[in-house]
Amino acid sequence: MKLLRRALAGWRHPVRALAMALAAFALSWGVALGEALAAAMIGAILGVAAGELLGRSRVRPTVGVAGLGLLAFVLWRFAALAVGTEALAELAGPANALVTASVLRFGALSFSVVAALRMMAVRRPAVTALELGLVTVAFTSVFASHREGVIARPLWLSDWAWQQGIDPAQVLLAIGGAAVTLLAVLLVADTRSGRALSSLVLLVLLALSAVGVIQVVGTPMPQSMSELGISDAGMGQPPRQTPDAGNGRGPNRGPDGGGGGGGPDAGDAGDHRGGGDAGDGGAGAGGDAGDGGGSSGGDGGDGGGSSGPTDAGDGGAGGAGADAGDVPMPNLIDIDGGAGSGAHDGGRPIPPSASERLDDDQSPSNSPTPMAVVVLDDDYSPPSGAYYFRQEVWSQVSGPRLVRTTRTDVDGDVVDDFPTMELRVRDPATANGRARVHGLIAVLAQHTYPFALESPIRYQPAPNPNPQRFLRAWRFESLSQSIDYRRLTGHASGDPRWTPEVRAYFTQAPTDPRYRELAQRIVNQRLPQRLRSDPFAQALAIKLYLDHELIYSTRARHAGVPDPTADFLFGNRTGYCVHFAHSAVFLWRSLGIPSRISAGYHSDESNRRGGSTILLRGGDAHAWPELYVTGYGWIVLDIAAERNLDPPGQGTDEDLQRILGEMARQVPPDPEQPRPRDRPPQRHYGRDLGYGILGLLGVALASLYLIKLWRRARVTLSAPRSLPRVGYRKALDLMAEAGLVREHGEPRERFASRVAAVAPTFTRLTSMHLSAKLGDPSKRDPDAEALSRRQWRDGLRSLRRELRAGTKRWRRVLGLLNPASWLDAR
Amino acid sequence: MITGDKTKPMDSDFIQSEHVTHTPAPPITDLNGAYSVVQRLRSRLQTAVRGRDEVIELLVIALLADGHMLLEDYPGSGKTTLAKALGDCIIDDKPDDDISTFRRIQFTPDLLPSDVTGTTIFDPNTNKFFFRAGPIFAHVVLADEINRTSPKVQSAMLEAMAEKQTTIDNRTRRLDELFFVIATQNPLDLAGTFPLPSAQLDRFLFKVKMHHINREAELEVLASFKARRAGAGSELPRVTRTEIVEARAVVENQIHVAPEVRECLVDIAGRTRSDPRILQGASTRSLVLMIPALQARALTRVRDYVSAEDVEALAPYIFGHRLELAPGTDNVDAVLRECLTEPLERLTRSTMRR
Repeated sequence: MKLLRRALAGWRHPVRALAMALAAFALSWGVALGEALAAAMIGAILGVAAGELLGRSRVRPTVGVAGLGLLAFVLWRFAALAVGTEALAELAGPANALVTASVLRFGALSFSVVAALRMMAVRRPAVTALELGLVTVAFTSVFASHREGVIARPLWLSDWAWQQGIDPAQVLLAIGGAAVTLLAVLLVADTRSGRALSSLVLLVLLALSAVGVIQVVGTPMPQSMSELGISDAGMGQPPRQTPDAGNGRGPNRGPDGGGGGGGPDAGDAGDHRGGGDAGDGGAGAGGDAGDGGGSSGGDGGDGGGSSGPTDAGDGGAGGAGADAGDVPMPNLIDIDGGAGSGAHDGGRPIPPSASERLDDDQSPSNSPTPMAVVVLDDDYSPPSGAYYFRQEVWSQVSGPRLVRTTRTDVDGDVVDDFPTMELRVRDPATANGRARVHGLIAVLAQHTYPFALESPIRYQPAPNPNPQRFLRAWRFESLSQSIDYRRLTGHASGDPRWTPEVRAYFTQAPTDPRYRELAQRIVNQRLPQRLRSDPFAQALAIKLYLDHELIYSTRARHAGVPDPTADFLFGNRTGYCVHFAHSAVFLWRSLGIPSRISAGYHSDESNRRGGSTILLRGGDAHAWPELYVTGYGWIVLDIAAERNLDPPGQGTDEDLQRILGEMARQVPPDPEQPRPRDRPPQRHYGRDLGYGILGLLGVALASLYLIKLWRRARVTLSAPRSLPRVGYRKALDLMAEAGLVREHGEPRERFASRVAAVAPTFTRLTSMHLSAKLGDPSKRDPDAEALSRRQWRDGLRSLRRELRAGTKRWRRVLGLLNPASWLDAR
Repeated sequence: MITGDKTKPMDSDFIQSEHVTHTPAPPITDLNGAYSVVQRLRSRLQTAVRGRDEVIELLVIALLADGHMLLEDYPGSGKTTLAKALGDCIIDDKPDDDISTFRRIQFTPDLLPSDVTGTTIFDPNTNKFFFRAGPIFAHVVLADEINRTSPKVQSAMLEAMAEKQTTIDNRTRRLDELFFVIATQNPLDLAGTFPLPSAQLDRFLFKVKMHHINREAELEVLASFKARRAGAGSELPRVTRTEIVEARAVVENQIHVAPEVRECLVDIAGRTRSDPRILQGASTRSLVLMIPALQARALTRVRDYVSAEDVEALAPYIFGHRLELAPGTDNVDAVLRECLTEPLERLTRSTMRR
């Protein structure tokens, strides 16, 4: 114990410096480069030293803080000067100038903050709480992404843990416990009493038991998927829009038919790279970019930085990207690469996405990252040759593109929430020309909205067939198109129940006259006279035209232009699904055909391989145009470009599909039943250990209070002979509760005279005690026993009175509550 | 403990001690009487020497514990005044024994042992040798700059201190029962000195470093200097030689030393011996000497028992000059404090045992 105390006293400064350096590291991890990280850490260490020195010097706290703030400001300004002017850049090269600036900034910031806190803490111990709070926040922020079962964050940790075969949750909890212990050590290091040490031990035990208990209480922790060959890095990625093969196989099918080619993810990756690196790379590109580049990169985030590979040289891209955060106007097409589901409504947070994939040059859409498994109960073969899983619908014109509607009376055939009970869509599709299909969907990644096979009418919650594998599952009932496309001609468009206003809503197209011109030209050229006024024939003609004319490429992002669709359709006609869908819808709408875009997943029927399981991968995310045929509802009419510039993707992993399908089909284990044998029994050890420790702590606490009470009450019960001991012990207990504790090695008289200002009676009690204990036993007067009882009683009473008058109330309440206060009475 | 004076109140004490030479004071047999000796000594000394309360306390303790004191100080720090004031406190109630109350010996390199102890002189008138007593035949002897003289003289002096006797011309003569030496040495001016070997340092109960007094005390010294030279404080009650000797006996017999205290002393000595920073730990003799000192201090604190506080207060002065530190260690106080802490804590906690 003594050794530990000495070690703590000797090592507290290094430990504190270490903790601060780690905190600085953790806080600047996401925003700083290597040199700046090092600077932040060194700044923190120096800050601890400087704060300690300042705190012990005579500098006033306000002056010290002001001085440190001034120092930080000056260095900050100097850093701005280093990149803001060309002097340093010319002298040492732009890269060095940048490094200098960031080193200055981060070093100065961490130094002054840490030093100021340290100085205040030396002066006023209460500030230590602030200091430790900073460390706590820093540590917490690193692991904050690991919430709500997002097991893969932070990746560097979970990857390692899974490689070692450990559940990362345990690792995280252990790190938390270690951090708590470190903080506690720091806290204890300043107070050198044995009580603080005992509470430290208590804290460590608590942290341990938390690790044990929380696991059992059950944070949802899906386990490693690596055995299925699924890359963990892909977990948590949103669905991505993919190039499609279009509906209609056979003649319509272009050379790209084999499956999703390089998706927009390439652009996506580039996009993220632009966002992430903008702080340095963008500014580094030219001295004049300076701060502007850095800040736009930072603000634009992953949705904004529009510097895809094609327009990397575009100087205006940075600025445009910065705008995107506020007004989703110019480069909205961009975002479909960033996040298929729900990124477009701006306010909704994009699920944690590919920031970790910055250096992944491979097109991610080729990645077979499984997103969901669909098990169809009914045998259903779509006339289009592909399954369309609708997640959401974009029908409202917003600037140059379509977005989710803000109205409540349209698009009632999709739902916004995952089903917790049976959930019927507000506006179900008509059964005419449709087949009833039931199925189960189990997702492996976070999704923003539920999805189901095209035209769902009913969602139903389903028990998660395997919580270690899937995030959630639900059943659906859909009315899926069964009528052949050829029979759709000869019908009017739109729903007769629509008001003219709703119909106008679904036919609202951009004002650009070129759409109508082009649509009319296509109709006139391609359709015989009798079909020219048939809406479906018109739509089909336009689709076939687009199939022929458009070129699929994920590299053409049409970002940074005011109207990407026009830029695409009337430009190089090279783009991907979102461009296709917008073009088709705008052309249809210009002819008055009610249409919209649906987004979700798309999977070729061939991917089923004859089974009933469909594995939806990240690369299967898609957006497609739909039109409303009277009597039949929304009909998918997808564009399938004949020419594809992207390399073909890889096919479905049949084994994986089969395994996941079987897994999804499994009924989850009944909680009533005993657990199957494959549940390793050692999972209980953590709980048993945790509850055991908690129980022990409870017993220890109770016995501490009992002892305290006993020592209190003992005085009235004891024989006069033992009064000098028992009575004095009570006096010491009272003193300890008031926070007055004898130092180690301090004689009682010195202690008594030290506290004489607060408790004068204690001096008398001390000499009564000592003379009884150290005095000559032969001289003791047996007659005085009754007298001594009264003396002790009076003395204790007046001591209590003096303590009440001389100490703060909260101190006494704390002392009364402290079960271990009597341990300090010695 | 000392409560209420049974013999006489303090006021009458004042009058009586003025005429003590005529009417001998009643013998001191209890702690109250012994404490009155302490009080009288204290008040007179504190009047004569300002700002030296700690040293005066130690001086009184050493006097009652029958030990000697070594002061380490700079010239002009008041040691002669202190010693002289102590001499003034003491009334020689055996005037016919040819022993004065106060003598001062200035040690020089050419001093001879006989200059200290005295010598036999041939008287041609009677054709006999007769003994001429040296300055150590006194109650209070100030041995100034004791490290300046040759080891021969030092050893003569120190024999007298240890044995309370001196041998001149093969004849051993007893010194007075109240033989109290205040020796001084200058810690800085070491040129041409003969530092006392540790065996001889051991004869001193206390070695006290006299630090410069603080500003207020120094101002007070300057302000009261004239009054004190004119004999201020001389009216304060004094003590007789016999009273001091009797008080010594009272301290030795009536102040209780608990077994735990003795254990504590032995523990401290054991720690000093096992500490690697100390070449030579505390001797058993130092412990034996320490017991009366502790008792005397308990008396000055109005206690009839020795407490941990006494040990803590006196240990630096008793052990400080007796320990020989290993090379590389120079702070004897810090080392000693570490050796003290645990035994003291054990002693302190022992009182809470059943």
